[in-house]
Amino acid sequence: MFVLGIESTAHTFGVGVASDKEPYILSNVKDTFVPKEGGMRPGEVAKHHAEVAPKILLEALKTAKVPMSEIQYVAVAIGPGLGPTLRVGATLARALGLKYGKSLVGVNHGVAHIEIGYWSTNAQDPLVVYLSGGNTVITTLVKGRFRTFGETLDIALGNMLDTFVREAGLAPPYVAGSKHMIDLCAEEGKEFISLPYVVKGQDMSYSGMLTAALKALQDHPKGDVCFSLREVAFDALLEAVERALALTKKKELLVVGGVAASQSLRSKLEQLSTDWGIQLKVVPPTYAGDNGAMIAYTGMLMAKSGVTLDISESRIRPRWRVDEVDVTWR
Amino acid sequence: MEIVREISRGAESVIYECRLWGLRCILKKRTRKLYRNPILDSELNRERTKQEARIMLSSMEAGVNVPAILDVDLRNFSIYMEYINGPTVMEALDSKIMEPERIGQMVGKFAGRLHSRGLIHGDLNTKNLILNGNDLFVIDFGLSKHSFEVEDFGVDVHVFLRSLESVHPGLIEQVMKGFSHGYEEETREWVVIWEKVLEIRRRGRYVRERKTGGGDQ
Ligand SMILES: Nc1ncnc2c1ncn2[C@@H]1O[C@H](COP(=O)(O)OP(=O)(O)O)[C@@H](O)[C@H]1O
Ligand SMILES: [Mg+2]
Repeated sequence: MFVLGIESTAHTFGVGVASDKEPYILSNVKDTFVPKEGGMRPGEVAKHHAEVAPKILLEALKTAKVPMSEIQYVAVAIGPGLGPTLRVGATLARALGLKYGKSLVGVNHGVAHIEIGYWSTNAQDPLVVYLSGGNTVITTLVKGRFRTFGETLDIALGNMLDTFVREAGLAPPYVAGSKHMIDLCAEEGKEFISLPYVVKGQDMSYSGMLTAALKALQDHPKGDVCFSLREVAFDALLEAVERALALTKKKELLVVGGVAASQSLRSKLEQLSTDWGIQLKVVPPTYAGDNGAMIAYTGMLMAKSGVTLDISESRIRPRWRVDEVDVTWR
Repeated sequence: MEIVREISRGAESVIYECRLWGLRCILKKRTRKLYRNPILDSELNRERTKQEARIMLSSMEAGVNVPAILDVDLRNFSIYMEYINGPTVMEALDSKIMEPERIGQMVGKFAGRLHSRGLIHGDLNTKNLILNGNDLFVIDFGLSKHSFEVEDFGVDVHVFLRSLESVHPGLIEQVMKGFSHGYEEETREWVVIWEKVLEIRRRGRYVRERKTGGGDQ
C-alpha cells in the first residue's frame, strides 16, 4: 500500500510517500517559508505554500518512484494549525482525490509527530514530550487516546523562545547552522539572572518568563538573559516531565517535534534519563520539524485500520487537539 | 532518627520511611537535579522546603488533615513528618474501596477550605492525597502558595481534573460531581471557579490560533 501525505499546518509545506512495508518512508520533500522580518503572516505563508505545492508534490512522487496511479490514499493534515495554510493542503488533497479517485485520510498533525517518533526510534510504551513552535505537550497513550499529562497554560515553549529572540533583535533567521538563536546567544552568557520559574502541577507557563526576560534586556547583557531564559524554560519543562514520569512510571521518554532538535535541551534530557534509569528516544532531525512523511506514515496506519475520510467531511480543523483523536490503530 | 527504607523517588524528592523515638515517620528530602542550573536548583529547593512546611502548618490550622510536621532542616532541604497509612486516591480509585463520588466530595471539601483561607496547593493530583480509613489527608505542598486569585483556585481544580483525565477517564463525572458538592460546602464560589477552570483549559489549547490569527473554518 502506498500513501501520499501532505503537510501544511504552519510554515512548512511538505509531501511524503509512505508504504506499509520496509522501508516505510519512500520520500520526504519540503519547503519552509522563512519570513524576511518579524513573525509569520498566515496569508503570506499560504501564498508561499500554494506556489511551491506542485513542485514539491512531483518531487515527492519522483523520489519515491511511485506514480500517482499507484497511490491508494491521500493523507492530509487537517489540523491543528493556521486556517489559511491548512486550506492549501486540504484543497490539494481534495483535488487529487477527485481527479485520481483516491480516498482521503484526515490526519492530526500532532498525532503524526508522535507516530513518526514511535517509528523512527522504535519506542514501545513511552511518555511522549511533543515540542513544536505551537505545542508543548506531555502525553502518553491511555485507553485509545494520547492523554495530556501536562502542557503549557499559555504560550508554547518554542513560540516563547522564537518571540524572545525576535524581540531581542537576534532573529530572523531563528536557526543558524543547526542551532537556535537562543542557544547561540546563550553561549555568551556568564551570569545567571533570576526569572519567574512557573510549574503548576504538570503544567508550565511561559508568558511571565518571556515578559520578565524582555524587561531584563534593559539592564543585563543579552547573553546573560538568553542563557538564563533558556535554563529556566527548559528546567521548568523537565520538572513537568519528571512529574509525569513519577505518575506514569514509564521507562521510555520519547521527544518529538521541532524543538527536539535542540542540543542543549537534549543534554539536559540525557541527564534526566540517566537519573531516572530510563531510555531517551529523540526523533531524528529529518523527522523532527514539520514534514509530509509523518503525515503519509500516519495516514498509512489509519487507512490500514479503516479510518478514512469522505471529501465532504474533509473540512479543516484548526483547533483539533491531540487528545481528541481516537487512536483506533494502536 | 533512623532511616528504615526508601519509599519513593518522586519528581523532586526522595521519600524515606524513618523512625523517631519509636514513632513511624516520613523524611522528605529534596534532591539536587543534575540537569538544572545549580543556582536555580538551590534556590528552588530551599524555597519549596520552606514554603511546604509553612503551608502545611496553615492548612492544619484551617482544619485540613495534613501529616504533622516533626522537624524541618533547611540546609538539607528536608522535612520530617508523621507517617500516614493508607492508599493514595489514585490507588483508591483503582481498587474501588470507596465510592468515587464520596472521594471527590472529600477532596472538594478540603480544596474549598484551603481556598477560602487563601491557600493554594499547587499540585493537587490524585497521588498527593492519602486515604487513611475514612479520613482524607493532603500531602506534598511543594508547589503551594498564598493567593486569593480565582485564577489560582482554578488551576488547583484543573490540576486535579487533569490527573483524573490521564489515569481514570471513566470516573471523571462521578468524582467531579462529589468534588463540586464538597467544595460548595466550604465556599459559595464554585460556579465562578468552574467557569475559570473551563477558561484555563481553553487557553493553552488555542493560543497558537490566537497568536497567529489563523481563522476557523
Ligand atoms: N506523610 C506521608 N505518609 C505516608 N506516605 C507518604 C507521606 N508523604 C509522602 N508519602 C508517599 O510518598 C509519595 C511522594 O511524596 P510527595 O510528598 O508527594 O513527593 P513528590 O514531590 O516526590 O511527589 C507519596 O505519593 C506517598 O506515597
Ligand atoms: Mg507528590
